[in-house]
Amino acid sequence: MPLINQHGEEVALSPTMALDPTESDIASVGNRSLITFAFDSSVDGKAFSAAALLRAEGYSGTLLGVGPVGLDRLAYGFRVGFDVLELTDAEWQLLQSHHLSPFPHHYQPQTRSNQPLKKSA
Amino acid sequence: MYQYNSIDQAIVEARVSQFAEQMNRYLAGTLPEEQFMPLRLQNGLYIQRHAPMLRVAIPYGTLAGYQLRHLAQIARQYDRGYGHFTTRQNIQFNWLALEQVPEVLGELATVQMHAIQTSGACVRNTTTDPLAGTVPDEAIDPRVVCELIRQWSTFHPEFAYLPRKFKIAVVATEEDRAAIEVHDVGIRVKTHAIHGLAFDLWVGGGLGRTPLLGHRLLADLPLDELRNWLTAVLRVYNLAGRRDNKYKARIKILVNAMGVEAFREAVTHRYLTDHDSELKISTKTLQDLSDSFACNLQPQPVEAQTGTTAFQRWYLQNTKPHRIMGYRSVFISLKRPGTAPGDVTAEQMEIVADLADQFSRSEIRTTHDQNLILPHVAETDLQELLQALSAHDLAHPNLGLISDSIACPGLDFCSLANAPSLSLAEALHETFSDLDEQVDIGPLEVKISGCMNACGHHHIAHIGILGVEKKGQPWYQITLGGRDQQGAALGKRLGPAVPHDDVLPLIKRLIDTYLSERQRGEYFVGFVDRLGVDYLKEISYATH
Repeated sequence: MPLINQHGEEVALSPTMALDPTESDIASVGNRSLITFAFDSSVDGKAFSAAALLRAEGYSGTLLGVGPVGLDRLAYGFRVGFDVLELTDAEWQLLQSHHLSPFPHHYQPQTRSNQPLKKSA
Repeated sequence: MYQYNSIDQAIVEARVSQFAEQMNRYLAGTLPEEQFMPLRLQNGLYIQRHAPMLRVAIPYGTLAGYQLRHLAQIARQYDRGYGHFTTRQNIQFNWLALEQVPEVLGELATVQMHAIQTSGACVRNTTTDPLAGTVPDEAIDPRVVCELIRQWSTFHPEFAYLPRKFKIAVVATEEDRAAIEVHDVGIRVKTHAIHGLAFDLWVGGGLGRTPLLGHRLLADLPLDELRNWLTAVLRVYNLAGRRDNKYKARIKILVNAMGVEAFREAVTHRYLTDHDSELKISTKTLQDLSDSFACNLQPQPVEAQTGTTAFQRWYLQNTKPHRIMGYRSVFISLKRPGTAPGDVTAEQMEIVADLADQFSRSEIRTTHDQNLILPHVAETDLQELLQALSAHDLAHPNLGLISDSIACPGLDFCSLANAPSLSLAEALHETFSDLDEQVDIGPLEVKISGCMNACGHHHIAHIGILGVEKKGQPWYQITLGGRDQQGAALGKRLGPAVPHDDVLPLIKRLIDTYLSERQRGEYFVGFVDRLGVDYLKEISYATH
């Protein structure tokens, strides 16, 4: 399944074993350079808090989200601190043919800014 | 009133475009139903029994005249000429066509309105005291705090997919007119010797299938730290709340499972560990928001009100004192015979909008009891206002009386309901049609829910009515003694459920007993406290 970065580009990455979001404080993360969180369903948002929490605690490695993330949750995922998120093949095709405009502004100063998800070159 | 800045407006317009695009993908079959459902719900769009229902946000229950006028236009153009005000201070349109919803959202955006986060597993519209800004003992206009929460929670990327819906209520007075103890989070703002403004935080209240009163989790927190504390509460909930069973997914279940002490410890740990200085609320922000809500009325001389008996009755029942001398807040009851509670026609919306422009600084409030308020009316205008309201069936002087009942849409509209609610509200009007009798009975809250999801808030009613299904037929359970203000309490079940036609006779027996056995100055709810549910059960079911 395609893995997408916040510029809407496909990236190559080998997912590590998914960490349990409930246990994901910085003490248990150690010095891992890549952490993977799995979304259990298209309405599961637990990993959004896990990512935000790790970033709040200073984690600077790569955060990968796998599972049913969904096109419409990409922006949320990137804003809370994910670097790479998984899409289905169909979603990836749709993303390549659509330009999903990000919101021009947001109210949460502590989160990352929206990035335009551009068509892949 | 708070006015949108360019960022607010750009966000609302972006959401209109985004939702239209999502709707197109759904209709084209490229967005699966399971993915579209949370997107439409977070935009207030339900698939109901007869047609899609759109719930439009009325942040902190405050509307401007031009906004209500536009809602009237939407009701007329896209619905069946009326709207329904809800117990969370919002308005619903029950008869929209699915494909027209993006167009309606576009219409709303032109008047700084939207349907964002009026449903779904996210932070919902924050509710507050419908008399905010008009009462004398406020620490701050609570709408300032609500607006801060609105901005902070709108499209919050971390909290858009919570285990379940999340409702916040705010008050800034000792008297609780927003039922903060039955919300996921309740906030009471107060003045503080050290912090200037501080707040107490309640967590874990709620109605629905598992009604619980909230716990006062923390007290005397500086108000400028509100967003950091809310982030801590929601982060703990989002990480640890159950997602395996939607009936066990509200924060109240988590708080009870963890225990209040452990939950408090977890929240405090998150607050201390994840504290973000960018979430601190500046004095300037508070001041700017306070200025935007200020009504700037000048005191007026007050003369004793004289007038017809009808005027005196309306004045006593449907108007409340204002903090500025010479002004009153005027309640418009939406509980009239032949009309579902909270329903208003497009024509009536336009009339209220015009009257707000003429008499109330163009401001209207919506209440948890599904009524409207013109908050800033000069005492000298009251007679003229009453005449105008009376001409449009908007002057029913039953505020707080037995016929001022709350009812959810029930089986007539809702796909979740077990039993009709609206027919009972109508029967209540018929049984207690004599206004003198209603006044004699005194303050009495009747609330009707068509199922255990409790949208009619029956748990916190003096007399609560819950529709249940029994062998395919609607039956009703009665609870007594609930209340949502000081000393909030959940009603106690009176006895076995009764069929539809037995509900009003049972209530009539209860009321007759109250009228014959009450002590001097004793309200119905105090009477229930004194005599107890067991005693009243014997009387209520005596001839059943």
